[in-house]
Amino acid sequence: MSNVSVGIHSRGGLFRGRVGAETFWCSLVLAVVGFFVLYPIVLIVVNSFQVAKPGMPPLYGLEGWRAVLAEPGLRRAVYNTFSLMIVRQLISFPFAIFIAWLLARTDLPGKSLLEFMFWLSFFLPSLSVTLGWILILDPDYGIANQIWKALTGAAHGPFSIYSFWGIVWAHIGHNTTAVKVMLLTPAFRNMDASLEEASEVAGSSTLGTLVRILIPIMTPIFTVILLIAIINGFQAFEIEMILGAPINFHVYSTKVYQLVQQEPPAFGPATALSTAVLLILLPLIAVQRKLTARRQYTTITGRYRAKAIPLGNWKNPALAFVTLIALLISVAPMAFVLMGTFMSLFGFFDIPHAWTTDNWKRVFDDPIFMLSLKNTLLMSLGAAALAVSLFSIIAYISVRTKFVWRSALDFISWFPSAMPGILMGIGLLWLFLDIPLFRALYGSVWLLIIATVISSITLGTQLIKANLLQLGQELEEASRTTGASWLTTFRRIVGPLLFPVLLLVGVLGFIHAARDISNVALLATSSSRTLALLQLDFMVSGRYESAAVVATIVMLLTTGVALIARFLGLRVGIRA
Amino acid sequence: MGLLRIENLVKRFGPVAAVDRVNLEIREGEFFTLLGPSGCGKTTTLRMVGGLEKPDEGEIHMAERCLVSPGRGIFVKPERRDMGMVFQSYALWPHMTVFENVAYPLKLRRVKRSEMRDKTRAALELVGLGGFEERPSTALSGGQQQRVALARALVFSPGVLLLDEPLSNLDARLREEMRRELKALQRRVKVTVLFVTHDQMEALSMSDRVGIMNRGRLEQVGVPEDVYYQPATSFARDFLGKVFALAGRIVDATGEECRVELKDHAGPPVSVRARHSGESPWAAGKEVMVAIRPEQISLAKTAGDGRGNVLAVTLQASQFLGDRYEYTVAVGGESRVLTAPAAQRLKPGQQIYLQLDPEAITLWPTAQ
Amino acid sequence: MMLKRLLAFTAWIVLALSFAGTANAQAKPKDWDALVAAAEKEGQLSIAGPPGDTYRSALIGWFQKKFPKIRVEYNGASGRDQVPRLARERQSGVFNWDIYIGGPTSPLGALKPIGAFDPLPPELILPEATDNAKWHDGFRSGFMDVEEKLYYAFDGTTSDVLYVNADIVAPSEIKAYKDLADSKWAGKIVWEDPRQEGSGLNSALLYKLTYGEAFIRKLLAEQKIIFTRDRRQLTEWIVRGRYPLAVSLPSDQLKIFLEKGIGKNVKQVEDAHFIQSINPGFGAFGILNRRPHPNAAKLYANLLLSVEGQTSWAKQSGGRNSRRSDVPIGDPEAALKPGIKYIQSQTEKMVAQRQLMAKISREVIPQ
Repeated sequence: MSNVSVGIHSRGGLFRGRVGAETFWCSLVLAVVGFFVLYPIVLIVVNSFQVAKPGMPPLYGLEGWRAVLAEPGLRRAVYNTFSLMIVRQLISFPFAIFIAWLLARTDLPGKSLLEFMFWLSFFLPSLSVTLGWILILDPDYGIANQIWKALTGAAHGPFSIYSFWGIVWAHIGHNTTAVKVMLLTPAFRNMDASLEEASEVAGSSTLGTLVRILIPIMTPIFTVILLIAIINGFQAFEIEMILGAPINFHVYSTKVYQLVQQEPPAFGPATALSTAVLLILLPLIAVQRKLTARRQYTTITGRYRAKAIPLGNWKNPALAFVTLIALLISVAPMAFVLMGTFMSLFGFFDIPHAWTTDNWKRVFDDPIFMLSLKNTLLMSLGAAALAVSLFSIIAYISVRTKFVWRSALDFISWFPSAMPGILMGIGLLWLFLDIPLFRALYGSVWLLIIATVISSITLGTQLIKANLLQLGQELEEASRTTGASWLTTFRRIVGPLLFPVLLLVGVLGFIHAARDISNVALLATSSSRTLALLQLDFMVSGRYESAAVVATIVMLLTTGVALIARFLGLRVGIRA
Repeated sequence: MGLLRIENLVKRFGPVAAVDRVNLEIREGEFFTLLGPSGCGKTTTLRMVGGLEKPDEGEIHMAERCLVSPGRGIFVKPERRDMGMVFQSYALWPHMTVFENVAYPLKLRRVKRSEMRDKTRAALELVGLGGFEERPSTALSGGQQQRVALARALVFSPGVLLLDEPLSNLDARLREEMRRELKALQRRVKVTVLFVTHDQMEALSMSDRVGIMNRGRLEQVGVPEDVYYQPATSFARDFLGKVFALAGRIVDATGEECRVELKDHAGPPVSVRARHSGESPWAAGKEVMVAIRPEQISLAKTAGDGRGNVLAVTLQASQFLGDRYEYTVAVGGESRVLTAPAAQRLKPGQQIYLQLDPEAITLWPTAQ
Repeated sequence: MMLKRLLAFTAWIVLALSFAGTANAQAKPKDWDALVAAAEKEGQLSIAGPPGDTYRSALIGWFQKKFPKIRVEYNGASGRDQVPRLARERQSGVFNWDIYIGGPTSPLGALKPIGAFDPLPPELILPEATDNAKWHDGFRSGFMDVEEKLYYAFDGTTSDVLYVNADIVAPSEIKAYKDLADSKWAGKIVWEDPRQEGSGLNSALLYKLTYGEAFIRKLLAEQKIIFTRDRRQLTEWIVRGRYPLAVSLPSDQLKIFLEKGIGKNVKQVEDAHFIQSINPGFGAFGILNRRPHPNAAKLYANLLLSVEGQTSWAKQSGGRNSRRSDVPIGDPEAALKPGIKYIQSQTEKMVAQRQLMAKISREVIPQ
């Protein structure tokens, strides 16, 4: 896709460009993206009215919708979804903003390392981390409760991971905070120091500046992250499943899963439920767009100045605070994960031969390990590259051009994340099987790349978009007037200025592809299987320890990619 | 012979015409300024010249080359227009050093490395920033960033230099200094400049010619002295400087001269040269406004010889401003502020006389 | 004389050779070598099988070793992922798979109606594979479809329904399966979620078949049962004694704990009055039509049902048994006992019953 536009714009070397060229290429991008996103989703929505049994000719009706409304416990599940979501965001958002600000704007010592610890936290495999927290916080045998009992002599410890607050903690202690810090730090870093200086000259304290100037000016990125958090709140699933099911605590996503797991799978009601959620999310997306369209949010202007705020006496407390949180959400869980890979049975310390390397051996000895590793690398790197180029084109069109349908393009980029992964995977399967062009590639790594990129389109596109909104347009115009073509400008000016966020999007694309199960399970064949499926294999066999080994390998791969990315990021980008 | 020719240029944003049928010719080597308040369409016009906006109607030509013509489907991209541009916010690229910023246009033109270095150095010397090459552009002061932007716009010797309010972000003293330097620089490199500003001081002091824009229209074009002293429209009159205006009624309009009886003011009618008197023909009995730039009024302790237009007024207050005095006088029941050289010292409460040169007075319909 | 002797000797040789030939024919049919050659010429076999590394190695490890020239494409996934995918592929004219292996319910529900399976009997040419004497209750009793020709369950693992942690619950405290309804066990039972297909649903169905619908409704609604979908978690809980009673404990998971020397305290409750059934799990298969490698598929199907294939299944699938009586036993506690008639709870005939049970579960389990 990126290649296509390369072709166009370099041909713009003609003396006179026709007025319609921009519209043509933008329309082409819209058509391609729209097709890949809407085709599966329209099929999913249509399917919600499909009531025929498998193998029978299609029959349409409202049964699926009726079944959803009659689904026991649905209202409770929706309520649970919202309360979890709200509580999680209320806790994690202020923390994340504060930490990101400390990391990006102040002279906090070791901030580069600390920031990377939050990245690591995001790379950690969900399941292993959750099992780790169970080991510590289980109401009966959890280590924290054992210690409490030993200290106080009480019969019961105070903690229970199998609870509403347990689920909240498992989320906050894993991804919820980490991902926000990850996304916010580059945005804070791109802020012109003169904005802060102006506020401080006007008599505001440093914290006051954060609250009154920086936060309002970062509205686009905040609303994007908030909306994505809301959407993810609908999709979050693994933790709720492990910790919620035993206490009969259900959420929307576990309901969808439950419907699809029935025999025969209740695709009708599942798709109806997802369609309903999509309809709830659409107005939210529209509101987000309205909020950010109204004002100017440029923070990198042509007279950009960078300066770190001295923390003074607050340096040590701030360092202690960020380090504590980083340890809690990255080092501690990483210790569980690594420990788990070397235990005979995770969490059983008092059995003979509690420690072993068998789990690693089992993985390395698996006949499909090397192939899966190779496929994972190929697919994830491909997905990262495609994600970065496609998402920057989409973001650029929707922010910078006057293309009439630019908001439509932006709007549809939200859709894939509003669909549960299982259903989106099925929709993409249909797409690839229906179009003869793709049938030739069916089962290959290339379709897996396309599928994972489509399903990760929202976060990547919105992230680049929010950062592009921060970038003053005159920086590009200055390049054009000195004689650079659009493409040269993109390569020399926009690209380098967005480099940190492009790397972040690449890393996210990589990990998303490496971890993807719902698409890969439906589209891979034995020759294109990835590590995520190998991990699933071990899970199904109950070999959680070996599954953790595979997850650790995926994490190490991602960490390696991220380290290279960060190293590169230090050479390009704004010079302070 | 115009280097840059703008014909019937129109740009609409929604229903509003931001630029409304602008016609303009800029000569080679000329320092031309578009002056007007914010939102008057001056920046949009400049951006259309630079190729950053596309006009809805009209054409722009540079020398014999048509740059844009929606009617004929012509649009030359900005990078093909051979124009340098300095932006209000300088638009320095924060990921490049000073040298990289200035050398960028040369790099695009595949200039040889050694030549690139020499030219870049020379451009930086020209703006007084020799030795700053390796600084990151984010570590410069506002004035320095402004100079780098200027060097970058000049380094490839463009046919036209477009300046979009380049001085507006500087503090007052720096602005004055840059104003002089910019003008001197333009004389030295003899580049054609299209300058956009809302500051009439900048416009009047630097320009060869000034175009006054208001609500998308070009209201008057001329050398600074003409547009200042002989504004063609009331907007130009008010925007360019302070005005001392008095209401009255024409008592006699014959040939080259009009005589106006001032309202609320005893004394002989004021004479006005008809050729200075605005747009419409004047007839006796018409209510009008008599306007003059305050600095063209001379103050005297005595009525003098009685020739010309003399108004007797009461001095209400005076204020010493170092190089001059500021006087508040009561004319026809209203207080007006005038300034006079410090040499003359007048006391409040005193009766004084204002002499209005008939040549300097302009006449305007009262409605305005 | 010499000639006579020579003739006699020749005759003896011929006779001996022909005997040997018949003996050979009994083990392998005469076109077997041709089949092997044709399969090797195809060079590939594509199996859509159950997920998990243990099943993968149990199902194809031996075959790959035996026929290195035949590359086995094995795609392991649950029926939920595999079946809709296969159905849609076929609808679009993509026929990538030779053999489907997995629990019977999904393929019978969505692949059989679109005519995806070919009849098995014409493919099974190896006498050993279909030898009635060697299969529990005869060869035919393994067919899962109504027509008894399309989908075959070779697995013979009995349904282990109820387990106790003997450290906490004395065997005398719970003697019959129906004791589970005693209110003293409220909140102490963990059960694999019966609202979806799986062994938790199977156990619920067996309760329903044994004690009637009213009993199971009351049990699910009132005993404050802990339902989970995580089989390993369920196993760990009873091993640790967090919940002392477990319904539908997965024996393969328990085996992982037993291997490490824990979980010996977990005991199956024996109750002769409870319905005896086979739960084939993933151990069933069918041959897909329009398959890309018909000879390799035929070769595999025959050998899968032979001693060799079933031995691998019993030994390597992590605690499953075969319906064949002449192979080792994978899980002694869940072994079939000769002479007992087990019901097959996953046949096509039972599908309606299973769906009803799942529906009841969704209705009565408090949300």
